[in-house]
Amino acid sequence: MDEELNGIEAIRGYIDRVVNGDGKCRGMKVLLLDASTTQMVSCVYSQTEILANEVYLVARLDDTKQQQEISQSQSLLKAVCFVRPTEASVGLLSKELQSPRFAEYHIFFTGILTSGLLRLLAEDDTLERVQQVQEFYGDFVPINEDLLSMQCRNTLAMSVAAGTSWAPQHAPLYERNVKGLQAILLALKRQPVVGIRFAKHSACAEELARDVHDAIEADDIFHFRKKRRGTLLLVLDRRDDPVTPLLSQWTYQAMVHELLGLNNHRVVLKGAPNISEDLEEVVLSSSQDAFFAANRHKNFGDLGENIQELLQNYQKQTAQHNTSNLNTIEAMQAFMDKFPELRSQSHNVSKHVAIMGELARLVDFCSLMDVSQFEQELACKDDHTPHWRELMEKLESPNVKIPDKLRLGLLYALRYETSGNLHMVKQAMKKGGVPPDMVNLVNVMLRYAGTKSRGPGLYGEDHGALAKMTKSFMTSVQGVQNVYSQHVPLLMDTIQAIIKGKLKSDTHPFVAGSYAKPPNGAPPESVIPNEIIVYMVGGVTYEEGTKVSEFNQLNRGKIQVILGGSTVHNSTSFLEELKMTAL
Amino acid sequence: MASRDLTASFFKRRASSRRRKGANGTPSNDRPLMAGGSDDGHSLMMMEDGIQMTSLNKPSWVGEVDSVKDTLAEIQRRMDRLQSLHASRVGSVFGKDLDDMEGRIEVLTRDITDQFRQAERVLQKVGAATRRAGGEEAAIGANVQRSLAKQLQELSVSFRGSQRKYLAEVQVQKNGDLGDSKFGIDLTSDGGGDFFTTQQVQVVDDLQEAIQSRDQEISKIAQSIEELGTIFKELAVLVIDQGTILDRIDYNMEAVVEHTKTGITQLERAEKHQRNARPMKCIVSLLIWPNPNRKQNQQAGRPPYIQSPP
Repeated sequence: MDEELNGIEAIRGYIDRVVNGDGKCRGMKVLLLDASTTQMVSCVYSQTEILANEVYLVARLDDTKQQQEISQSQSLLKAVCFVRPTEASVGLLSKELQSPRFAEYHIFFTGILTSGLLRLLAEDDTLERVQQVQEFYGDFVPINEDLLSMQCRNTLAMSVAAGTSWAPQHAPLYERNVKGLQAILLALKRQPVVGIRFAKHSACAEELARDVHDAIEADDIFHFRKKRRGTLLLVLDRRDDPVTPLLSQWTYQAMVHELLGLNNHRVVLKGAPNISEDLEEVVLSSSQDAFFAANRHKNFGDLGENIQELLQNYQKQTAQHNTSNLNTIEAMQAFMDKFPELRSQSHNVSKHVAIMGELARLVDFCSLMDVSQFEQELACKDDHTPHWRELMEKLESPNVKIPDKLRLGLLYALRYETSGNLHMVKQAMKKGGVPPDMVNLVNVMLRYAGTKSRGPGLYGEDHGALAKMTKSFMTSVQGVQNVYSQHVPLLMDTIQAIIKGKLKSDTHPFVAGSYAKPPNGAPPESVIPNEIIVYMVGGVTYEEGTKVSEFNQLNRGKIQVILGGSTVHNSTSFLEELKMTAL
Repeated sequence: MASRDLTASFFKRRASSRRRKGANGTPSNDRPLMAGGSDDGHSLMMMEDGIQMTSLNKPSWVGEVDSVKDTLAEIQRRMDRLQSLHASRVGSVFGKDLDDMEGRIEVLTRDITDQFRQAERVLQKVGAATRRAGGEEAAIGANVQRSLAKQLQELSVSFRGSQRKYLAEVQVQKNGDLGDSKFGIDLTSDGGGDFFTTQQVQVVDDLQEAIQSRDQEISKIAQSIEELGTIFKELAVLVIDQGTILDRIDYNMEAVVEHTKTGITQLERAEKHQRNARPMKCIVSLLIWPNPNRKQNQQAGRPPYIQSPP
């Protein structure tokens, strides 16, 4: 049975091997990490689990504050290191090995180590403390099983600079993306035999695709004897769809990120009203929280019901174990036994209730139901006159908060780039309270992702007139199931085209030599893959993650998609990075 | 998942580099460690620029950690033995062996309970010793405590589970006995008059004795469960609540890296708080202090309509 694409399993698999030195390191250990690998490990392993593996200290290799003296107990510990194969990390390791703090070193790099760096390391291991050196390609953070992130910021500027004379400034970030994408292939043990395709309009996507292709050709490690299903690698650019990151979200994981910020599974609730001390920062991780795993893609309404049910179940349980009813030793013992479980349940329930409460408060405070309905209109329909009216109304309204006014202005500008009166829109935004440097983002946005800069298809331009009419007819006949979930990201259109064999190679060409010629002289784009690995340079969104997950559910056993990106955006991060493209 | 082992290549380069250094006349007083990844920290002999550190120099708490681990193994073994004793005791309904078996069970149960106590005491000692040392050692000690406390807790839960099961079975037996006609006399028979025959009196006396001894047995079992309950509570302080922010590796690293000394006092304060039975107080002050590592975590940015802490 072929293994499913599962990013979390892949990274866990590597960490399982790291924590016992791939079977060669038993006893008390220290785990040395760098900034990136800390995030990776923290997302798949809990402190409790790592302790259970006798890792009694997790420390940063680059922490200069740590004591340099060799204390007695430290030199009895063995070190397992899991770091990126950069010059900086190797430099720190070399320094460490020259005056080692620990008895043994087991080193695991998250990517391909150049022979130069290997030699450097070997030469500096004068006291011969290193027991093994291996490459374990865990170079990305698995947010969900099918959503992977490189946690890089500022890749919008990098993608814009690709192919220009400013490109070298972004070289380290670019390297990170290339290496990360390579690691995805290696960790999942997939070779893109159906081919590597990229978004034609994006110089960055093209470069990334070609570089990955060259790496595969150059190194045997990418070649797997057991050529599993037909895997396609698709490299896209955020630029082709600037609308999705601007929209308000209504599914749990996406909504938390948009309104509160979900970073490495951590949510900060501190500063919100009525939050108790132990809920100031909480964790939303599918591997540790079964309720979250089941509800991360559920919409706000269903979520509310499910949290209510969760609360009721919990109350039922605590009523059973009410302390005032404990009058026999048995009852007391039963309570004590259940106590740890009840305590963790209690925290879990309070956490979801608190998050839900805060989300509801913000929805109300920012009139998000009203705003979001209009956003969906702007994103999905063409209807200039009523849109113009509503936009002006919203920009004037005191109920609409300033960041939301900005987003509405941007959504309008993107759709009505040529036909709309953008000057008046900008005036209205200023009058509505949007600061001038933010208003200027309208220009920056059109430069970044206007019709001239982005690829085609965002507003369904490349669908024939007949197809568009059919679509709008069907929509109005069926009624829109949920006015807040009308929007379908461009990504899903692209994926649908691929599985029908209809994605044109003039918009998404193949990297030459990356595919085997299909039989009967059929064009390569007609080959339908079983698996699609999508990488979006510039960042993905949770909305796209949710849609991919739904797609996978629907097509289980037939087609699977896994989505990776430079980072996971919300509107705040997207606009911050957009600003940087103008510098 | 793919992987690649560079060890052989690494050793080759290391060896050739040493040869080159040796050939250049550089005096090398390095001597190789015992290779092969020995897993027993005690017998590691280390040579550091001529200073020899033998196993005698390892700090005492390391030995204590090992003794706790041994105790855990011992407890497990004894619990297995107890299980089989329970099974045979419940299986046999009558006979003189009963008293003997009960005696043995009682002794074993007491021993196990004592061992739990002892392990918990040593664990507290380890915590105190490493906290005094400060810095990384304190962090290591705290983590060791947590890990062993969790194992102890799990063992104690399973021990008490088996005790309760045994208690329930014994109680069933006791109730069963009364209804039983094993004494050969049917107490429910309409026999005659308003007073008991001597035989019946004897039966009642025997029964009363049986009830009393059962009661004693039951109360002794109940007592041992209670004792464990208190140990369990003390251990619970050391165990991290799973699924909370305190169970995050990165969160713990931020705390250690920034404020090792203060972290220890906060840990002590947290223990005190938990002893006061308010579950899970987060260490608030650590969150407020500026944390450069956090910035590197590349937050996607909180929306501007939430007040961020100063």
